[in-house]
Amino acid sequence: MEKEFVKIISENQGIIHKVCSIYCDSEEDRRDLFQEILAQLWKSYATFRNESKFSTWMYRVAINTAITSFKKIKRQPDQKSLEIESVQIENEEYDPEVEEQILLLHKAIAQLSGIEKSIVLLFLENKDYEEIAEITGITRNYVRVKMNRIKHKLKKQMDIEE
Amino acid sequence: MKLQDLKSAWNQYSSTDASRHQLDESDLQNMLRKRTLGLIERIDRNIRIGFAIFVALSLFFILDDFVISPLLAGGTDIPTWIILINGISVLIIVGSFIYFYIAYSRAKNDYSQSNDLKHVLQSMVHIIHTYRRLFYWALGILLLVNCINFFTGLLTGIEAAASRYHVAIEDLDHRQLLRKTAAGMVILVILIAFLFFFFRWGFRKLYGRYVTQLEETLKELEE
Repeated sequence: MEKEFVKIISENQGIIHKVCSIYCDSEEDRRDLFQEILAQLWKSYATFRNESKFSTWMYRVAINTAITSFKKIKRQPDQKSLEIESVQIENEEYDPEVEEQILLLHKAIAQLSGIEKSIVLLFLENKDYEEIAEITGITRNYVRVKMNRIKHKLKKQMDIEE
Repeated sequence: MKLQDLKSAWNQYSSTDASRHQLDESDLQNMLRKRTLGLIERIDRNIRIGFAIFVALSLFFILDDFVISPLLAGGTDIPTWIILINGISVLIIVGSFIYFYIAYSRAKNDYSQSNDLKHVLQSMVHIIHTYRRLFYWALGILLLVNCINFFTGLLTGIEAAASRYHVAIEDLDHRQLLRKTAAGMVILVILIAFLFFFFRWGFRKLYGRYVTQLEETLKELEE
């Protein structure tokens, strides 16, 4: 079962990296959180019964683990100490404008609460309110209200339009 | 900037970032094997250590009653009331542990990170509150056993002094007796207060801020 688990996680590990990149502001925290999410996924794997999509289940466990992560809170991350190099895009099609947007986005996200971070992550991943509600287990209405507040906060900090 | 631009910038960044941090299957397997303990596992470990301490204490009290004290008393019979009191202490310790085990298992039963967020937060807060209650209870029992041992030691000492001078307890120097008892009680109170506040400080330092943040997140979810 471990082999099967590792294979399926390896194929879907992007989800864990995305959650880690939203919740962590240093490589060390990121490694710790990745390991913790992996452990929680392994523990819960036996109870996964294909009632939802595998990615939905994976997002759920990863986000829950990130929000309730003990180490993360214990260290009290300094929201200003975002490691700039961690957001640099190592891409052949390097675009300074995109780089700037990502930096701004990371800074704005760092100001959000744990729940808001999860909603904004899923929103950026193009999930609709129904899917966000399914992953987080909160009501669609609550997601809608929260998303409006988040957009308002992002607008203030990043000068974005609808 | 438009929200849609933000989404595409995010997509570009997140896919680059994911490939930069990509791990192969053997890395993942190693990570699973070498993983550090999560919060609940740490609490489990602390409870196991607590259990070992309780077992060791119970064994020590039993050993003390039937081996150490009779040896130190040099053939003098240990009064039945002292054996009874020590027996009650052991019973309290064993009974408390059984209660701890049941209460903690019940609190933990419901916990899984694959539940919805609200459920996970509620379970974690409940587990930590149960653990805190059990922690203080265990601390209280240890302090109570300390007090019982202090008073049995004091009374045994008085009886031994009276028998050494071949006088009745009433004929001992009352002022000296009171002075010594008062000094002993002051030391006992200082020791108990120190232990209590030290453990309470330690618990709050470890879990205090964490529980507050979990509760705040839960409150935000219930808005």
